[in-house]
Amino acid sequence: MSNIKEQKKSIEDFNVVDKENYMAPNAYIYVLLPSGNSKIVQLKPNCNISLGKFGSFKANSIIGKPYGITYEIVNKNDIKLYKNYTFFDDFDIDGEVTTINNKDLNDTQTSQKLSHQEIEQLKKELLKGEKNSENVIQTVLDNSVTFEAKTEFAKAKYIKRKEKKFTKIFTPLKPTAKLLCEYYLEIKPSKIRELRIDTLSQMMTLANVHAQSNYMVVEDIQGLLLGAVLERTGRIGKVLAIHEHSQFNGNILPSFNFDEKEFNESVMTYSWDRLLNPEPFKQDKLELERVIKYLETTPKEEINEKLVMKKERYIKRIAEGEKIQNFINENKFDGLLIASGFNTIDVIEKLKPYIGGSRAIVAYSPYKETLLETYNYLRNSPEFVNAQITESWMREHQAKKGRFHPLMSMSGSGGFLISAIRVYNTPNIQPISSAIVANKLKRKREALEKLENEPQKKVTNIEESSESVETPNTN
Amino acid sequence: MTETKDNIETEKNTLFKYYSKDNIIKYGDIVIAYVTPQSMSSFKVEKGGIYNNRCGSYKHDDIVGKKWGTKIATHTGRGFIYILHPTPELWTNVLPHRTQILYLPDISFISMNLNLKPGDNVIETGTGSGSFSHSIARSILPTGHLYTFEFHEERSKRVRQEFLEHGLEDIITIQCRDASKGFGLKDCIDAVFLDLPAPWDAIPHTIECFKQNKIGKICCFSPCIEQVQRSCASLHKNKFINIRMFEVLTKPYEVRSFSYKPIPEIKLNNNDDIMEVVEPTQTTAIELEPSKVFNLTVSRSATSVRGHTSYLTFADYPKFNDLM
Repeated sequence: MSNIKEQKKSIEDFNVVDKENYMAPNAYIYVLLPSGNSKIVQLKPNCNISLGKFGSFKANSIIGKPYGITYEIVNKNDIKLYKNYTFFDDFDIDGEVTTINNKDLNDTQTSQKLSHQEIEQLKKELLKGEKNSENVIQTVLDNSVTFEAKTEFAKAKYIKRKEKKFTKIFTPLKPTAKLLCEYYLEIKPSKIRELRIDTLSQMMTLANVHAQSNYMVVEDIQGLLLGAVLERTGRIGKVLAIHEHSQFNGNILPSFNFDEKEFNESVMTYSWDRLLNPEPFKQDKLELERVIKYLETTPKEEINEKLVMKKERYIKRIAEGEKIQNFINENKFDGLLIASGFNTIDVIEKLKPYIGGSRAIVAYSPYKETLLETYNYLRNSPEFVNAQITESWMREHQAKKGRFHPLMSMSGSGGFLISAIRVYNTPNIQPISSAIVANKLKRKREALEKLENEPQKKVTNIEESSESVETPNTN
Repeated sequence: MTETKDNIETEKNTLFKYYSKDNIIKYGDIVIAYVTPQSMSSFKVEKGGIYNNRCGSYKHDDIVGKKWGTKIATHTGRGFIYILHPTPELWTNVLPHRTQILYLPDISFISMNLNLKPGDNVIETGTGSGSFSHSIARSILPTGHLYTFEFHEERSKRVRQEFLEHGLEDIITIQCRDASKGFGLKDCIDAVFLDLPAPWDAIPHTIECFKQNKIGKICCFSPCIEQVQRSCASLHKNKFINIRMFEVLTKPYEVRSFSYKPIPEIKLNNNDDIMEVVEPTQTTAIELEPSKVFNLTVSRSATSVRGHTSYLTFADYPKFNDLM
């Protein structure tokens, strides 16, 4: 029956208007598996999608369907709706805490009568679709010596565990910043600098990320931070991503399924080289001139087609770059978000002219030590207020009837955030606290200088150089 | 001077739609007067108005025409404030605390887990002081809508007035209503946030509100574990799935500089028999190895920090009636 060849479909054959809630052809989906594991796959039309030991299914069978429905794989790679939604959930597997104890349970290898080979055989038959998961689980239970002696709770827990091992069900979900953050933290934590979801969420709040505003992003975590910002702004407003090398590295970005047009209108990527260069396009323009000159002076038949394309490329690149540079010159940004391997002080120093007054900056680091000097810098800078360093802490609890408690293992640290608000200093006002701080710093500096230039120099009068200071109004 | 100021129109203040290109403060704007992280307040900029704090008084007319984030001196020049633009979180710091409010880690985590984004329709109950309402509105504007329900009549009136003053009336609808009697909304909601003493009374009514063919998201915010247990039971009974419960907090750090105390050294005198204990002073220690004594930047968490706010219970409601 599965030999009947299905008609090949192209993207146009699927009519998906609401890409937010329905799976479009070539969309990335986050597949939740019964084991609690997950997988990110692209729904290429006419392709088979493999879920490893849970089997495989045809992409065409779910394209156009809403996200969030649970399916069961039947036969080889057919699917049907899985209506038993409580499957993932074992809230009240007989919640009463019973008096049956484990005094008769011994820790031996003999409690399961089936051999390892026999179980592997069952798994194979299951994968081929020759047996269904209920048969397999029943066989495993029938051969368990200790099963009957278990408490009702333990029995239910045991069945649940076996179900999760053998049931071939899956739920395609829309990949969101939250799911992608959790996914990459699990599989490639170093790629996203161990950024945890609660910390990422706090960055959005601290930088006041919302639609109709412009943000600056400095990140080298594969586009996760940029994607999270774009998700929250809804691509309404501009986001400027500053990158090193020739282009922004955003491996995770495609998984967000952003509409290409929206994305291109909202995102600007610009390199440090250009941003810090007073004449960012001088080199390109010289190169372009050279190419144009060559093209003009060379007879047509000798011109290489590639060179004409090169000319077009230069023109496009300069035009796009100048558009971005103009935007940067004409607008102040509404927030700066940093998650990178650069020294945070350097990034802030370089980018603060572009950040609007009363707008926030927030930087993430997995290491507190890298933020301490930044904190001192922000505290002592007259251009920032409200500087704070926080570490995020998160704990999940088991939420089961009669058995509420924190999970036995947890993430040790969510990393550190530093944030502050950009303000404009008015130099001629220097009263109260800042005057005291300034004096303190000055004394400290002078003490240090004194030590360095031992011993002859005398401390100069502190009041002398800061004449504008009014009598400090100490509280 | 005053002429140019009069030219700056008195526009209706909006918390979020304010951002004019020139980034200038106008009459009618609500501003945050920032002194220290612990000391902020808010006021509305009016012609001829005066704002007083313990350092002195500030003329509103001096503020108008300045950039947001500008440092403003008292008219005597003795004290100063920074004029900040209100954000939902700064507003939380200055609002008259009528009820328990949500803190930043909770606000952030809930918004992320409910996947709030522009265009979403959200239910919140109870409104309380309207602190979280501002944060939700920020995340769902310009096309989303927040339906917020407050049981307490006086409080709902006051918060409604506040939303109006902040230009949020297009984004937020507030109703004085007992959530345990239902919400009066059908098939239009993406996410629900319940901050109620008895969320389990409201949970069954949320189901009809959720959009069709979508997973509806819910968060129950309760400080006590007993409330969580009853909420979870209700969520389970009403066929919600993926019930998960979290606590989130942040730990603030204080940064200081630290120098070690030097150990006393024993020196032999010229006369070999007599030993002398040299009590090192700070100076002698510096002379020896200045790098070791200075420039050690250290940090520690405060002696007393927030240890608990509330338990956050999340669950999903798969509403696929059409397809099942």
